[in-house]
Amino acid sequence: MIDRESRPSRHASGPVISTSPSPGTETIVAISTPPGRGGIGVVRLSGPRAISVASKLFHRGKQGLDPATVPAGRATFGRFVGTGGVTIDHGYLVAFRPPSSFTGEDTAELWSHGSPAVARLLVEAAVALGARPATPGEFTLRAFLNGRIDATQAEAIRDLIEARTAFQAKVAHDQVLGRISSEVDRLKDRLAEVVARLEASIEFSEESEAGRFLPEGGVGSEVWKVRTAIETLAGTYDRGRRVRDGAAVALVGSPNVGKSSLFNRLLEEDRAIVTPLAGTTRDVLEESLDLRGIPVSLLDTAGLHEPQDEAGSEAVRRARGAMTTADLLLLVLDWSRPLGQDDRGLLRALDPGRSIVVLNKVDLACGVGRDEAQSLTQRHGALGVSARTGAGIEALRLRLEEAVTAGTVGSNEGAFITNVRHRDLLAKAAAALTRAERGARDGVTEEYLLLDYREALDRLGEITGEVGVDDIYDRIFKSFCIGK
Amino acid sequence: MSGIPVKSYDVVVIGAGHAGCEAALAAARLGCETALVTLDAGAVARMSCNPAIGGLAKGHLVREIDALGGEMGRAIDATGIQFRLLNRSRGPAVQAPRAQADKEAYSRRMRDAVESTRRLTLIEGETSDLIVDGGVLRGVEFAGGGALATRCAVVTTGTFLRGQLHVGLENRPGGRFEEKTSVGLSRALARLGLPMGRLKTGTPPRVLKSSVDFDAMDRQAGDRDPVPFSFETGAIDTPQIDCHITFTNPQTHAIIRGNLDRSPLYAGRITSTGPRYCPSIEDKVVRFADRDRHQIFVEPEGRDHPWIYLNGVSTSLPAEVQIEMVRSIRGLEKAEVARAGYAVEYDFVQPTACRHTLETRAVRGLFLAGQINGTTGYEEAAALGLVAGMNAALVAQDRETFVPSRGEAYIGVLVDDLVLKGTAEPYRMFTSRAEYRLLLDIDSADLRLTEHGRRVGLIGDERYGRFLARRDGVRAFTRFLETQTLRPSSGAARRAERTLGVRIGNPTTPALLLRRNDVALEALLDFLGDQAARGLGARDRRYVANRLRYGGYIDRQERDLERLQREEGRRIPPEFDYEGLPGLSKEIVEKLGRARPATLAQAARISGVTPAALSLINVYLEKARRQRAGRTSTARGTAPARPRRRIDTRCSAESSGCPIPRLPEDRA
Repeated sequence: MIDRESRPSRHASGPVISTSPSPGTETIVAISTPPGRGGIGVVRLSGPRAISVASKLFHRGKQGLDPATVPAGRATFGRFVGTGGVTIDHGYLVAFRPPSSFTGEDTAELWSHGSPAVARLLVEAAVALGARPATPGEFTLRAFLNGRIDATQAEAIRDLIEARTAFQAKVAHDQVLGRISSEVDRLKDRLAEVVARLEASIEFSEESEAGRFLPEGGVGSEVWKVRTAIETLAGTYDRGRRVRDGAAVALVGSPNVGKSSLFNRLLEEDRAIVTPLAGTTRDVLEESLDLRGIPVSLLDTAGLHEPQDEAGSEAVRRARGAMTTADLLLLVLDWSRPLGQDDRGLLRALDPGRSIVVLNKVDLACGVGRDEAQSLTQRHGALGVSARTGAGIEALRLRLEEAVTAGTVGSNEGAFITNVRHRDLLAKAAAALTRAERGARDGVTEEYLLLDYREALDRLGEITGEVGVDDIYDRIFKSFCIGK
Repeated sequence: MSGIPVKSYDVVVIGAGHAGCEAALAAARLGCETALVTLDAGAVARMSCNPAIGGLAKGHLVREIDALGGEMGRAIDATGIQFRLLNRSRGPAVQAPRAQADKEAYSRRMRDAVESTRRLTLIEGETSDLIVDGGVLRGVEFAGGGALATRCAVVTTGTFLRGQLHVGLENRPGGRFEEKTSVGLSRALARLGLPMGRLKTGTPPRVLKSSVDFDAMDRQAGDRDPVPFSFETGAIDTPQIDCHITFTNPQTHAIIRGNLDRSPLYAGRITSTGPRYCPSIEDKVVRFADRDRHQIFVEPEGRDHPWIYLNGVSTSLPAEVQIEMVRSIRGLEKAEVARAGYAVEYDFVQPTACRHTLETRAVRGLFLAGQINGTTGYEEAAALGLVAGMNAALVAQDRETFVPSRGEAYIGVLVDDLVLKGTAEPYRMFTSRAEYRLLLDIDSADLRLTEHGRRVGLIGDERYGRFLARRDGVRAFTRFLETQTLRPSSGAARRAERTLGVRIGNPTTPALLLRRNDVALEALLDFLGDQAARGLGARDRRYVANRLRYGGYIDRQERDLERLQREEGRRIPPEFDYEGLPGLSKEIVEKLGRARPATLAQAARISGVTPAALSLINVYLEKARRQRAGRTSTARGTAPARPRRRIDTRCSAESSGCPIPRLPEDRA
């Protein structure tokens, strides 16, 4: 089909007031607690769909919430559910309705555990449901526009806007981001060249001697290369996030297998309260570990305190949730006793590429069945350790290092992105180019395809600066001898 | 002004070039007593450079001028000697007509139009000064004494303001070859505080037709089915003549390189900026040194005119070097140069000094149009002339002004770019300057603009009737294609399957079939036949089908346009105090204070105005709006008085920008 549904391109609407707040139209989302690991992480949404988006990623019991019945100003406990129905975390949803919300619009807050990884996942899930990552200061701007902040605070608004510019300038000079922006600039440059050539071929079709506007075989292969590069860059988001926030490594397992002891042993300090009683750990503990320069946050998940028969499913569900949050899972099993129903369920649920199986308590006599022990070491590459004596801990640290740094250390010469807004824009740019490629295959002529090329260019421009029509003309007149 | 009683006009147009003629015709047609003052009554609408009108974006402009009741389209249709539609292999949005003109016939045709228009007087003379009193224009003065009193004046002086001609290292005052220049007017404009600048342009040598060996050149014929510029022209059946193409060669380039020290461009005599898209041959040879040839379009200056125009070798080298250079070219070995090429430098007024109506901000009633706005090209000049003349008349009659918007017309893009951004080089229109290019195709110009022309008063009853018939035909055919249902295995569907070679599995319509890339547009139109045509000609039917075929893209542009219109709705009061806004840089305050954007969207188009600045302005506008709303709700009737005269109504309620207006019943 020639018809293509697509969102309006930024370019085509003329110069857009990109940071102009448009209250009442878009729903925005951002992490609203300072970066770092506080006791609680708050993700805030504001706009007409704030409560409905929040309700969709929040389950109480088995079901989602009906946005209409979410009580205003009261916290509801439940679990946050990401794409594909996996549990991200447990926490609270608090909805505010005007006039008693900060921005003067419908607002929802998701209170999660303080892990930055969790907050990020929540933002990503909200974006997937149609919210837009907020630009810096956008919540305050909306609050101002809606009269929630007094007009006498105009000075503060100015500072805010200046701070925003300063923030962007600072970000641009950030080492990691500097590399991204030069990479984005390179892609933007190649795309601008494609656009300039296509425009020239339209505007100056008469001038056969001006030079070859389009390369032999058209711009298709260049567009493909640029699009692939954009997709690759967008795909570095996870790696970039890991470098910025650290890889999250979660310890999971049945109660009393010694997760907390292992946690402490790895941290080499007495962080968790360790008792021989099952279910001592009542909260998620998080600590930083430095593995070859990469910060690792080690998460010790709460043990189970539900009745035995339901525990199996709960354990698996939790492990799944932890898998969504964490980059790597340490499944801890007890070497000294036979595997239980939970253990088997956990083993089945494991993603072998992102997990290490650890057999704790190897200082005790083996209690695992012979076949199972064989399968654990051979199929799962299980590692025997003793948190108590420290046996095998060095080997485990090495395995951890390997797993966490895989694809990171050594290859972080290239650019990678850490900002969800950038990923969003790159994805949109790639989508626009994909549409153009499809159009070109269908024989659609250049003036139509340019809508998509220009949209892609504009999206990249939102990351590192706009490419105006005069830039395009500069290219044309520099490269081609126009002059009828 | 002296005590002698002076003749009084509503509108005086100074300069009878392409801008001046459209300005004067529009003003007179709107009922204003109009004077058109020219240095030489024999040079009305003279084509001082290439003998051609149209081309991409420029042909679009001519169509729009025509749709608004202007003259250029009809004039070139009547006097063109070769017509070609450019970009035939692409979609309708980037196709445009171009025609070689018989330049003498064109000039005569335009002079006839001027002389046969009621209330329009052609006056030969040199305007030397403007009479301004308290920021309001009162009249114009002639060099030899005498004056005209007027409400409005439109200055369209082209290259004549302090024009300086260069051939080799010699230069002399002059606006065109062997024509005088206008110094007094330039001084008058500067005295009024208008920001003056200097630009440069050039023209190639003309050679005697009788001395050219056309057989040695490539032939370029016109179209067999010429597409007219004007909606009013039925068909063009005048015989078409050929153009030719030849090329420069390494020897030509060697001659040029060897004489660069005698080029005013390279010897430092000319410092002003010329158009990059129309460089001199000296520039081409220097900047693209690796090219061993450049194309030259060999164009007749008229059906029987003795001269040939060498399009592509604009130059200001000394005359004897030009002869040597020309004779090094294939087919021109024995060419007699009838007139040497030359460069001309001239004054212009930075267009940011004007409102969208092209009235200067400094002087009420003073309008500027054409090259004086910093543009290049006959078509750009004519478009600006039409805007200025029409609005001068509207101002003289105390009526609401009108300027098309960016989403509505290339004319809107042209004016908006100029007055908001200004220009550093001669501005030429390109289709890529229009964000809504797909909506601004040549065949929708009347659908976009004629209703406006009618409202203003430039479209007569007869023409309006013909326009309505076409518009209704387009709507009816569109509707037919969208609603005619083909049910699977019905007789019609079977026939369609056979003719189009596709399978129809579900109920469908011709419009839906058009969106399939396995259905050829021509085949579908053939299948529908004439009886479905709703009185539309083949070209119009193809046009409608094309719009539906690429409806996805068109819809996208329409949605974008709606968004812009919402942003255009955010008006900035004319008295808005940028200086009082904390946080705006001095540079931005200056830019905004100069351009005085009427809306936030206009402010966004001014270069150098940052998104942060826009946010800030937006915040204060919004705040002010809410405060006002709050006040009115408590204390009714305290709303501020409306401005006496709306200075700029670029987005009228009727202007939807949608090229195929929906039928009223579709609006539900």
